[in-house]
Amino acid sequence: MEENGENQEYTVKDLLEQALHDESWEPDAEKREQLVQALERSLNYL
Amino acid sequence: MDIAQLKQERIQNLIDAASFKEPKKVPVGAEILTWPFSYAGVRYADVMDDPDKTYEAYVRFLDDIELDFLWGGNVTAAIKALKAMGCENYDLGMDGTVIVHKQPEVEFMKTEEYPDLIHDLQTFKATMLRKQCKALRLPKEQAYAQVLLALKEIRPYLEANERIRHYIFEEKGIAPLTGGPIHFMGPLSLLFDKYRGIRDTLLDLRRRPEVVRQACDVLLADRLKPLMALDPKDFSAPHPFASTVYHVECFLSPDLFDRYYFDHFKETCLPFMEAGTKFFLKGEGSFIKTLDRFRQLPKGSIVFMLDQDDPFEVHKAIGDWQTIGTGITADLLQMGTKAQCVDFVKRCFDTFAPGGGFLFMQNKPLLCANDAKTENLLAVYETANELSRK
Repeated sequence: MEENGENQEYTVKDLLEQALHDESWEPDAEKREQLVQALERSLNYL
Repeated sequence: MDIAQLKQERIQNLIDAASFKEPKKVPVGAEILTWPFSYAGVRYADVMDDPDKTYEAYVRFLDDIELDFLWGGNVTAAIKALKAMGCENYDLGMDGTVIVHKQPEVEFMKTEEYPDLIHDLQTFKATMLRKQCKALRLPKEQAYAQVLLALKEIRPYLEANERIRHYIFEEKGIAPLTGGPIHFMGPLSLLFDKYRGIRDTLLDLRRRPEVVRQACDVLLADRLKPLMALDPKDFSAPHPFASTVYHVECFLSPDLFDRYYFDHFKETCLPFMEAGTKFFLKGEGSFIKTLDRFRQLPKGSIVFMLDQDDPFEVHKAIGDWQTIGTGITADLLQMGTKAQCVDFVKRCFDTFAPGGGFLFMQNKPLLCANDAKTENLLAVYETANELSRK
Protein backbone atom coordinates (compact mmCIF):
# COMPACT_ATOMS: atom_id res chain seq x y z
CA MET A 1 0.00 0.00 0.00
CA GLU A 2 1.52 3.30 -1.12
CA GLU A 3 1.44 5.90 1.63
CA ASN A 4 1.08 9.56 0.81
CA GLY A 5 1.80 10.83 4.28
CA GLU A 6 -0.78 11.98 6.77
CA ASN A 7 -4.02 13.19 5.25
CA GLN A 8 -6.33 14.76 7.76
CA GLU A 9 -8.87 16.15 5.28
CA TYR A 10 -11.25 13.31 5.97
CA THR A 11 -12.13 11.05 8.87
CA VAL A 12 -13.01 7.38 8.87
CA LYS A 13 -16.57 8.45 9.68
CA ASP A 14 -16.67 10.41 6.40
CA LEU A 15 -15.62 7.31 4.47
CA LEU A 16 -18.11 5.04 6.22
CA GLU A 17 -20.89 7.58 5.68
CA GLN A 18 -20.02 7.72 1.97
CA ALA A 19 -20.15 3.92 1.76
CA LEU A 20 -23.50 3.88 3.53
CA HIS A 21 -25.09 5.90 0.71
CA ASP A 22 -23.13 4.40 -2.17
CA GLU A 23 -25.34 1.90 -4.05
CA SER A 24 -22.56 0.90 -6.43
CA TRP A 25 -21.07 -1.75 -4.13
CA GLU A 26 -24.30 -3.04 -2.57
CA PRO A 27 -27.78 -2.08 -3.79
CA ASP A 28 -29.63 -3.30 -0.65
CA ALA A 29 -29.66 -0.42 1.86
CA GLU A 30 -30.24 -2.67 4.87
CA LYS A 31 -27.34 -4.93 3.92
CA ARG A 32 -25.14 -1.90 3.30
CA GLU A 33 -25.90 -0.63 6.77
CA GLN A 34 -25.12 -4.01 8.38
CA LEU A 35 -21.78 -4.27 6.63
CA VAL A 36 -20.79 -0.68 7.33
CA GLN A 37 -21.69 -1.10 11.00
CA ALA A 38 -19.67 -4.33 11.17
CA LEU A 39 -16.61 -2.56 9.76
CA GLU A 40 -17.12 0.37 12.13
CA ARG A 41 -17.29 -2.03 15.09
CA SER A 42 -14.08 -3.74 13.96
CA LEU A 43 -12.26 -0.42 13.71
CA ASN A 44 -13.62 0.82 17.04
CA TYR A 45 -12.33 -2.35 18.67
CA LEU A 46 -8.72 -1.57 17.70
CA MET B 1 -39.63 -29.46 25.74
CA ASP B 2 -39.35 -27.15 22.75
CA ILE B 3 -36.24 -25.07 22.13
CA ALA B 4 -37.71 -21.77 23.37
CA GLN B 5 -38.75 -23.43 26.67
CA LEU B 6 -35.35 -25.10 26.99
CA LYS B 7 -33.58 -21.77 26.50
CA GLN B 8 -35.85 -20.09 29.04
CA GLU B 9 -35.15 -22.84 31.55
CA ARG B 10 -31.42 -22.46 30.97
CA ILE B 11 -31.69 -18.72 31.53
CA GLN B 12 -33.66 -19.29 34.73
CA ASN B 13 -30.98 -21.72 35.92
CA LEU B 14 -28.32 -19.06 35.30
CA ILE B 15 -30.32 -16.52 37.28
CA ASP B 16 -30.98 -18.95 40.13
CA ALA B 17 -27.38 -20.09 40.34
CA ALA B 18 -26.16 -16.49 40.45
CA SER B 19 -28.80 -15.66 43.08
CA PHE B 20 -27.72 -18.42 45.50
CA LYS B 21 -30.78 -20.55 44.81
CA GLU B 22 -30.07 -24.12 43.82
CA PRO B 23 -31.01 -24.29 40.14
CA LYS B 24 -32.81 -27.26 38.60
CA LYS B 25 -29.57 -27.85 36.76
CA VAL B 26 -26.22 -26.22 37.49
CA PRO B 27 -25.51 -24.26 34.31
CA VAL B 28 -22.75 -25.93 32.30
CA GLY B 29 -21.00 -23.62 29.89
CA ALA B 30 -17.80 -22.58 28.23
CA GLU B 31 -15.82 -19.77 26.76
CA ILE B 32 -15.00 -20.80 23.23
CA LEU B 33 -13.21 -18.90 20.49
CA THR B 34 -11.58 -20.53 17.43
CA TRP B 35 -11.09 -24.06 18.85
CA PRO B 36 -14.25 -25.46 17.13
CA PHE B 37 -12.49 -25.38 13.75
CA SER B 38 -9.79 -27.67 15.11
CA TYR B 39 -12.41 -30.00 16.60
CA ALA B 40 -14.00 -30.24 13.14
CA GLY B 41 -10.61 -30.99 11.56
CA VAL B 42 -10.70 -27.76 9.57
CA ARG B 43 -8.34 -24.78 9.34
CA TYR B 44 -10.15 -21.45 9.55
CA ALA B 45 -7.84 -20.19 6.79
CA ASP B 46 -9.37 -22.77 4.42
CA VAL B 47 -13.02 -21.83 5.06
CA MET B 48 -12.95 -18.14 5.99
CA ASP B 49 -14.14 -16.93 2.57
CA ASP B 50 -17.15 -19.26 2.60
CA PRO B 51 -19.79 -18.45 5.27
CA ASP B 52 -21.51 -21.84 4.87
CA LYS B 53 -18.31 -23.82 5.39
CA THR B 54 -17.23 -21.57 8.27
CA TYR B 55 -20.57 -22.03 10.03
CA GLU B 56 -20.76 -25.79 9.44
CA ALA B 57 -17.26 -26.36 10.79
CA TYR B 58 -17.70 -24.04 13.77
CA VAL B 59 -20.87 -25.57 15.21
CA ARG B 60 -19.93 -29.24 14.71
CA PHE B 61 -18.67 -29.63 18.32
CA LEU B 62 -22.20 -29.03 19.58
CA ASP B 63 -23.19 -32.45 18.19
CA ASP B 64 -21.00 -33.96 20.92
CA ILE B 65 -20.94 -31.44 23.79
CA GLU B 66 -24.04 -30.25 25.64
CA LEU B 67 -23.86 -26.65 26.81
CA ASP B 68 -26.37 -24.56 28.76
CA PHE B 69 -24.57 -21.27 28.17
CA LEU B 70 -21.78 -19.93 26.08
CA TRP B 71 -19.49 -16.94 26.28
CA GLY B 72 -17.96 -16.15 22.93
CA GLY B 73 -19.18 -18.40 20.16
CA ASN B 74 -18.04 -16.45 17.16
CA VAL B 75 -15.00 -15.59 15.07
CA THR B 76 -13.54 -12.66 16.94
CA ALA B 77 -11.70 -10.52 14.40
CA ALA B 78 -12.38 -9.67 10.76
CA ILE B 79 -8.75 -10.19 9.80
CA LYS B 80 -9.08 -9.71 6.04
CA ALA B 81 -11.19 -6.55 6.37
CA LEU B 82 -8.66 -5.08 8.80
CA LYS B 83 -5.82 -5.95 6.44
CA ALA B 84 -7.69 -4.16 3.64
CA MET B 85 -7.58 -1.10 5.91
CA GLY B 86 -3.84 -1.58 6.25
CA CYS B 87 -4.12 -2.86 9.81
CA GLU B 88 -1.88 -5.75 10.82
CA ASN B 89 -2.88 -5.93 14.50
CA TYR B 90 -4.53 -9.33 14.02
CA ASP B 91 -3.45 -12.33 11.99
CA LEU B 92 -3.90 -16.06 11.75
CA GLY B 93 -1.48 -18.16 13.78
CA MET B 94 0.78 -20.81 12.32
CA ASP B 95 -1.99 -23.40 12.62
CA GLY B 96 -4.15 -21.40 10.21
CA THR B 97 -6.92 -21.16 12.82
CA VAL B 98 -6.05 -19.17 15.93
CA ILE B 99 -6.54 -15.42 15.65
CA VAL B 100 -3.47 -13.77 17.11
CA HIS B 101 -3.47 -10.25 18.55
CA LYS B 102 0.03 -9.10 17.61
CA GLN B 103 0.29 -6.60 20.46
CA PRO B 104 4.12 -6.48 20.48
CA GLU B 105 4.03 -5.26 16.86
CA VAL B 106 1.24 -2.70 17.27
CA GLU B 107 2.34 0.93 16.92
CA PHE B 108 1.21 2.37 20.24
CA MET B 109 1.39 5.96 21.47
CA LYS B 110 4.75 7.42 22.44
CA THR B 111 5.49 8.94 25.85
CA GLU B 112 5.40 12.45 24.40
CA GLU B 113 1.86 11.86 23.10
CA TYR B 114 0.28 11.70 26.58
CA PRO B 115 -0.59 15.45 26.47
CA ASP B 116 -2.43 14.90 23.13
CA LEU B 117 -4.54 12.16 24.72
CA ILE B 118 -5.23 14.27 27.81
CA HIS B 119 -6.11 17.51 26.01
CA ASP B 120 -8.14 16.28 23.02
CA LEU B 121 -9.07 12.61 23.23
CA GLN B 122 -11.24 12.53 20.08
CA THR B 123 -8.47 13.95 17.85
CA PHE B 124 -5.99 11.64 19.55
CA LYS B 125 -8.22 8.62 18.82
CA ALA B 126 -8.36 9.57 15.13
CA THR B 127 -4.57 9.90 15.07
CA MET B 128 -4.16 6.47 16.66
CA LEU B 129 -6.56 4.93 14.15
CA ARG B 130 -4.50 6.44 11.29
CA LYS B 131 -1.37 4.95 12.89
CA GLN B 132 -2.92 1.51 12.99
CA CYS B 133 -4.73 1.61 9.61
CA LYS B 134 -2.37 2.66 6.84
CA ALA B 135 -5.31 3.07 4.42
CA LEU B 136 -6.40 6.13 6.40
CA ARG B 137 -3.16 7.90 5.51
CA LEU B 138 -3.92 7.73 1.79
CA PRO B 139 -5.61 10.46 -0.26
CA LYS B 140 -9.38 10.28 0.19
CA GLU B 141 -10.22 8.48 -3.09
CA GLN B 142 -7.67 5.75 -2.48
CA ALA B 143 -8.72 5.43 1.16
CA TYR B 144 -12.34 5.03 0.07
CA ALA B 145 -11.34 2.27 -2.37
CA GLN B 146 -9.73 0.43 0.57
CA VAL B 147 -12.92 0.89 2.62
CA LEU B 148 -14.92 -0.72 -0.19
CA LEU B 149 -12.43 -3.60 -0.28
CA ALA B 150 -12.75 -3.97 3.51
CA LEU B 151 -16.55 -4.07 3.17
CA LYS B 152 -16.23 -6.85 0.58
CA GLU B 153 -13.91 -8.77 2.91
CA ILE B 154 -16.10 -8.35 5.97
CA ARG B 155 -19.18 -9.83 4.29
CA PRO B 156 -18.30 -13.57 4.69
CA TYR B 157 -17.08 -12.91 8.25
CA LEU B 158 -20.36 -11.20 9.19
CA GLU B 159 -22.57 -13.77 7.47
CA ALA B 160 -20.75 -16.71 9.07
CA ASN B 161 -20.99 -15.17 12.54
CA GLU B 162 -24.70 -14.46 12.09
CA ARG B 163 -25.35 -18.07 11.14
CA ILE B 164 -23.18 -19.40 13.99
CA ARG B 165 -24.91 -17.25 16.58
CA HIS B 166 -28.38 -18.07 15.25
CA TYR B 167 -27.64 -21.80 15.44
CA ILE B 168 -26.16 -21.62 18.94
CA PHE B 169 -28.64 -19.28 20.57
CA GLU B 170 -31.84 -19.96 18.61
CA GLU B 171 -31.67 -23.46 17.11
CA LYS B 172 -29.82 -25.09 20.03
CA GLY B 173 -31.41 -22.89 22.69
CA ILE B 174 -28.11 -22.21 24.44
CA ALA B 175 -28.30 -19.19 26.72
CA PRO B 176 -26.01 -16.24 26.06
CA LEU B 177 -24.16 -15.29 29.22
CA THR B 178 -23.88 -11.56 28.65
CA GLY B 179 -25.54 -8.90 26.53
CA GLY B 180 -26.95 -5.42 26.56
CA PRO B 181 -25.25 -2.06 26.74
CA ILE B 182 -23.69 -2.27 30.20
CA HIS B 183 -20.01 -3.07 29.98
CA PHE B 184 -17.34 -1.69 32.29
CA MET B 185 -13.62 -1.66 31.57
CA GLY B 186 -11.20 0.04 33.92
CA PRO B 187 -9.38 3.07 32.47
CA LEU B 188 -5.91 1.61 32.99
CA SER B 189 -6.94 -1.49 31.02
CA LEU B 190 -8.12 0.79 28.22
CA LEU B 191 -4.77 2.55 28.20
CA PHE B 192 -2.94 -0.77 28.38
CA ASP B 193 -5.03 -2.50 25.70
CA LYS B 194 -5.65 0.19 23.12
CA TYR B 195 -3.09 2.95 23.40
CA ARG B 196 0.10 2.23 25.28
CA GLY B 197 0.65 -1.56 25.35
CA ILE B 198 1.53 -3.87 28.22
CA ARG B 199 5.19 -3.05 28.83
CA ASP B 200 4.97 0.73 28.62
CA THR B 201 1.79 1.05 30.69
CA LEU B 202 3.39 -0.87 33.55
CA LEU B 203 6.59 1.18 33.25
CA ASP B 204 4.59 4.44 33.15
CA LEU B 205 2.85 3.53 36.40
CA ARG B 206 6.24 3.79 38.10
CA ARG B 207 7.97 6.49 36.04
CA ARG B 208 5.15 8.95 35.35
CA PRO B 209 2.21 8.06 37.63
CA GLU B 210 0.68 11.57 37.51
CA VAL B 211 0.38 11.60 33.73
CA VAL B 212 -1.09 8.08 33.82
CA ARG B 213 -3.66 9.27 36.34
CA GLN B 214 -4.62 12.22 34.13
CA ALA B 215 -4.88 10.02 31.03
CA CYS B 216 -7.05 7.53 32.93
CA ASP B 217 -9.37 10.31 34.12
CA VAL B 218 -9.92 11.37 30.49
CA LEU B 219 -10.39 7.81 29.22
CA LEU B 220 -12.81 6.98 32.01
CA ALA B 221 -14.94 10.07 31.47
CA ASP B 222 -15.19 9.27 27.76
CA ARG B 223 -15.98 5.62 28.36
CA LEU B 224 -18.62 6.32 30.98
CA LYS B 225 -20.64 8.78 28.88
CA PRO B 226 -22.94 6.14 27.34
CA LEU B 227 -23.29 4.31 30.67
CA MET B 228 -24.18 7.48 32.55
CA ALA B 229 -26.97 8.12 30.04
CA LEU B 230 -28.70 4.90 31.10
CA ASP B 231 -31.26 4.76 33.89
CA PRO B 232 -30.48 1.82 36.20
CA LYS B 233 -34.22 1.30 36.73
CA ASP B 234 -34.43 0.14 33.10
CA PHE B 235 -31.95 -2.64 33.86
CA SER B 236 -33.63 -4.59 36.63
CA ALA B 237 -33.70 -7.87 34.65
CA PRO B 238 -30.96 -10.16 35.99
CA HIS B 239 -30.25 -11.69 32.57
CA PRO B 240 -28.39 -11.28 30.26
CA PHE B 241 -25.58 -10.43 32.62
CA ALA B 242 -23.78 -7.12 32.18
CA SER B 243 -20.06 -7.55 31.73
CA THR B 244 -16.73 -6.36 32.98
CA VAL B 245 -13.23 -7.63 32.31
CA TYR B 246 -9.79 -7.64 33.87
CA HIS B 247 -6.70 -7.07 31.74
CA VAL B 248 -4.09 -5.06 33.63
CA GLU B 249 -5.81 -5.52 36.99
CA CYS B 250 -4.04 -8.75 37.94
CA PHE B 251 -0.68 -6.92 37.76
CA LEU B 252 -1.71 -4.17 40.21
CA SER B 253 -1.16 -3.85 43.94
CA PRO B 254 -4.41 -3.74 45.93
CA ASP B 255 -4.09 0.07 46.29
CA LEU B 256 -3.65 0.58 42.55
CA PHE B 257 -6.44 -1.93 41.87
CA ASP B 258 -8.77 0.25 43.93
CA ARG B 259 -7.63 3.45 42.23
CA TYR B 260 -7.78 2.19 38.66
CA TYR B 261 -10.60 -0.36 38.78
CA PHE B 262 -12.68 -1.05 41.84
CA ASP B 263 -13.54 2.44 43.06
CA HIS B 264 -14.74 3.44 39.57
CA PHE B 265 -16.52 0.14 39.01
CA LYS B 266 -18.38 0.45 42.30
CA GLU B 267 -19.36 4.07 41.76
CA THR B 268 -20.58 3.46 38.21
CA CYS B 269 -22.13 0.03 38.45
CA LEU B 270 -23.52 -0.22 41.99
CA PRO B 271 -26.76 1.60 41.01
CA PHE B 272 -27.32 -1.01 38.30
CA MET B 273 -26.67 -3.85 40.77
CA GLU B 274 -29.06 -2.30 43.27
CA ALA B 275 -31.68 -2.25 40.49
CA GLY B 276 -31.12 -5.97 39.82
CA THR B 277 -28.37 -6.22 37.20
CA LYS B 278 -25.83 -9.00 37.62
CA PHE B 279 -22.30 -8.66 36.23
CA PHE B 280 -20.13 -11.35 34.66
CA LEU B 281 -16.50 -10.57 35.46
CA LYS B 282 -14.06 -12.17 33.03
CA GLY B 283 -11.03 -12.57 35.23
CA GLU B 284 -7.50 -12.75 33.90
CA GLY B 285 -4.51 -13.85 35.93
CA SER B 286 -4.59 -14.10 39.72
CA PHE B 287 -6.86 -11.75 41.64
CA ILE B 288 -7.65 -13.50 44.91
CA LYS B 289 -5.90 -10.70 46.86
CA THR B 290 -8.60 -8.19 45.86
CA LEU B 291 -11.72 -10.37 46.14
CA ASP B 292 -12.66 -8.99 49.56
CA ARG B 293 -13.74 -5.70 47.90
CA PHE B 294 -16.67 -7.47 46.27
CA ARG B 295 -18.30 -7.91 49.67
CA GLN B 296 -19.08 -4.18 49.42
CA LEU B 297 -21.42 -5.03 46.52
CA PRO B 298 -24.84 -6.71 46.86
CA LYS B 299 -24.82 -10.45 47.44
CA GLY B 300 -25.21 -12.34 44.16
CA SER B 301 -24.39 -9.36 41.95
CA ILE B 302 -21.14 -10.72 40.44
CA VAL B 303 -20.18 -13.93 38.65
CA PHE B 304 -16.39 -14.35 38.55
CA MET B 305 -14.77 -16.36 35.78
CA LEU B 306 -11.61 -17.54 37.47
CA ASP B 307 -8.28 -17.88 35.73
CA GLN B 308 -5.12 -18.69 37.70
CA ASP B 309 -6.50 -18.70 41.24
CA ASP B 310 -7.28 -21.94 43.05
CA PRO B 311 -11.10 -22.15 42.92
CA PHE B 312 -11.25 -23.84 46.31
CA GLU B 313 -9.38 -20.93 47.92
CA VAL B 314 -11.57 -18.42 46.05
CA HIS B 315 -14.66 -20.24 47.28
CA LYS B 316 -13.45 -19.93 50.88
CA ALA B 317 -12.73 -16.21 50.31
CA ILE B 318 -15.95 -15.08 48.60
CA GLY B 319 -18.07 -18.11 47.71
CA ASP B 320 -20.77 -17.28 50.28
CA TRP B 321 -21.28 -13.82 48.71
CA GLN B 322 -20.57 -13.90 44.97
CA THR B 323 -20.85 -16.60 42.32
CA ILE B 324 -17.86 -18.40 40.84
CA GLY B 325 -17.54 -19.73 37.30
CA THR B 326 -15.05 -22.58 37.40
CA GLY B 327 -14.89 -26.37 37.19
CA ILE B 328 -11.95 -27.46 35.05
CA THR B 329 -8.55 -26.01 34.24
CA ALA B 330 -6.77 -25.66 30.91
CA ASP B 331 -3.77 -27.47 32.42
CA LEU B 332 -5.81 -30.56 33.17
CA LEU B 333 -7.66 -30.49 29.85
CA GLN B 334 -4.38 -30.27 28.00
CA MET B 335 -2.00 -32.38 30.07
CA GLY B 336 -4.03 -34.34 32.62
CA THR B 337 -5.46 -37.81 32.35
CA LYS B 338 -9.15 -38.39 31.81
CA ALA B 339 -9.42 -39.68 35.40
CA GLN B 340 -7.70 -36.56 36.81
CA CYS B 341 -10.08 -34.32 34.86
CA VAL B 342 -13.18 -36.17 36.01
CA ASP B 343 -11.98 -36.19 39.63
CA PHE B 344 -11.46 -32.41 39.53
CA VAL B 345 -14.93 -31.83 38.07
CA LYS B 346 -16.50 -34.01 40.78
CA ARG B 347 -14.63 -32.17 43.50
CA CYS B 348 -15.86 -28.84 42.13
CA PHE B 349 -19.48 -29.95 42.05
CA ASP B 350 -19.26 -31.49 45.54
CA THR B 351 -17.80 -28.27 46.96
CA PHE B 352 -19.47 -25.47 45.01
CA ALA B 353 -22.90 -26.69 43.85
CA PRO B 354 -24.78 -26.93 47.18
CA GLY B 355 -26.74 -23.75 47.77
CA GLY B 356 -26.07 -22.22 44.35
CA GLY B 357 -23.42 -19.63 43.55
CA PHE B 358 -21.70 -21.87 40.99
CA LEU B 359 -21.56 -22.01 37.18
CA PHE B 360 -19.48 -24.70 35.51
CA MET B 361 -16.94 -23.46 32.96
CA GLN B 362 -13.23 -23.70 32.17
CA ASN B 363 -10.64 -21.17 33.31
CA LYS B 364 -9.31 -20.23 29.88
CA PRO B 365 -10.97 -19.95 26.47
CA LEU B 366 -10.56 -22.77 23.99
CA LEU B 367 -8.54 -21.39 21.10
CA CYS B 368 -6.70 -24.16 19.28
CA ALA B 369 -6.40 -27.93 18.88
CA ASN B 370 -3.83 -28.39 21.63
CA ASP B 371 -5.85 -26.51 24.24
CA ALA B 372 -7.59 -29.75 25.25
CA LYS B 373 -7.29 -33.46 24.63
CA THR B 374 -10.56 -34.40 23.00
CA GLU B 375 -11.12 -37.41 25.27
CA ASN B 376 -10.61 -35.18 28.34
CA LEU B 377 -13.00 -32.54 27.08
CA LEU B 378 -15.75 -35.01 26.22
CA ALA B 379 -15.40 -36.77 29.58
CA VAL B 380 -15.42 -33.45 31.46
CA TYR B 381 -18.64 -32.20 29.85
CA GLU B 382 -20.35 -35.60 30.15
CA THR B 383 -19.50 -35.67 33.86
CA ALA B 384 -20.48 -32.05 34.43
CA ASN B 385 -23.84 -32.46 32.73
CA GLU B 386 -24.52 -35.61 34.71
CA LEU B 387 -23.62 -34.02 38.06
CA SER B 388 -25.42 -30.77 37.23
CA ARG B 389 -28.81 -32.49 37.31
CA LYS B 390 -28.40 -33.99 40.81
